[in-house]
Amino acid sequence: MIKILVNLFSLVILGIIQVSFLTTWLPPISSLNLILSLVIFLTVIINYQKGLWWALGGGLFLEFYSGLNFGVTTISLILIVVEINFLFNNFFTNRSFYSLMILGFLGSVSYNLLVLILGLVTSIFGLGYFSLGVNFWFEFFWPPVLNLIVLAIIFFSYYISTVRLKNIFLFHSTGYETKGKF
Amino acid sequence: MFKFLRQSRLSLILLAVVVLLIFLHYIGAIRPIENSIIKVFSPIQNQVYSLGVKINNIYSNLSVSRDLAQENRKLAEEVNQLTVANSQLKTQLQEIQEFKIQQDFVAATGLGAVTAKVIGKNPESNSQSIIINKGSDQGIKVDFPLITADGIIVGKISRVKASSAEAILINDSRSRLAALVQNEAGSKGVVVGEHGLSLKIELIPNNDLIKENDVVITSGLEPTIPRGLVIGKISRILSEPNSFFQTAAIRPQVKIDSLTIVTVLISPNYD
Repeated sequence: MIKILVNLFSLVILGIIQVSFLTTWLPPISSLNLILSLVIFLTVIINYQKGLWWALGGGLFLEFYSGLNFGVTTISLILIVVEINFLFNNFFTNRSFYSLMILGFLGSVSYNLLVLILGLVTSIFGLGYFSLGVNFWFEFFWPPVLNLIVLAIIFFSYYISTVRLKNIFLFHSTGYETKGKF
Repeated sequence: MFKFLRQSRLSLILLAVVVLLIFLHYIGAIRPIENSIIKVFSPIQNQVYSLGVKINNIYSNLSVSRDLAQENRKLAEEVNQLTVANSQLKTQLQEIQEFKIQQDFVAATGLGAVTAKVIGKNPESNSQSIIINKGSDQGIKVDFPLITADGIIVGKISRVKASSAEAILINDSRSRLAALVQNEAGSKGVVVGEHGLSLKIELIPNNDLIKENDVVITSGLEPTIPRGLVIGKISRILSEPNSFFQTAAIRPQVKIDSLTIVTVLISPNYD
């Protein structure tokens, strides 16, 4: 129960930062998607279920403030988790930093693509209005690059703060550490 | 594949939940919950937003200050360049004006003349001579007079090369000029320089009456120097009681040490 509350609290904090803090900055910083980056990180590094729950929670929180049609963000995030999990299980099976970066980039681009498609679909069904911005291509490709930076920061913060990654990833270690672990 | 499908069960459940929520949202069933959530978080969001704006403003102000400092530096550089350009233009203008006056004078007298630029000065401290950028190729010879403005003599050519010449200024100790005072007697004398500092006229007969502000001109006794070129005005009488001749200090009409353009008067029949 405490874990769920901690996760909810973290989710809200992150959501508030994304909605109320980052948006005060100019593009491309305002286009940073912290929730997406964290969802990708959780899916690859922690586990699939956690990624899904964060996708649902984060997506719903962002829906309240999003200009997109209701549901587009959440569905896109959940589908991204599914996609990344599929890619991770079948193609990028080693949990390396590079795998995370590649999956992060693919996930971010796919997310943008999904938002675009779902936005168009929902507007066709009369569930709202959707339009492409003037800086569409700029906003389409810049966020994935920035999300990679955020992912790298999250990754190294986690790497420094926990021993978990050190057990999972191949890393350059001293002889003493190797002896101790095996 | 089986694993993937098994794992997808949760995602399908969650997607179904979302679809349900979308439906409830569009029929307005969850609108009160949405509003409550927004209401609960809005004070915190307001604070966070204000903080973001403040940080952004600080950053913007820093950026503006940096831009202003850069612009200021650029403008300062421009001012320096313009000052230099302005100074150069003023110098050129002065030279052109000087040149015109000299040309007008030469044209009025009907004498031959070569206008030259001063390109240097003799570095010896006890010598007052200048180097000009015209020489024997332009017909300049030793002892030809140098004038400035409208007929004020400033020196004599002392050495000539093909495309340059050296001239001793009238305040040099070596300079000697046959002169006369424009007084009633038309007193004749010799103007000599005094260590580059001043001029004096010597050998004026004792019984001739000279006074301050009398104009001293060239006498025309020297074959290369025409009569009537202004040397200066008498500033002080230096006569001694038991002397046969009078001496007087002369105040030059121009600043001899700041010449930039001079005219050399040519005597066509002089060898």
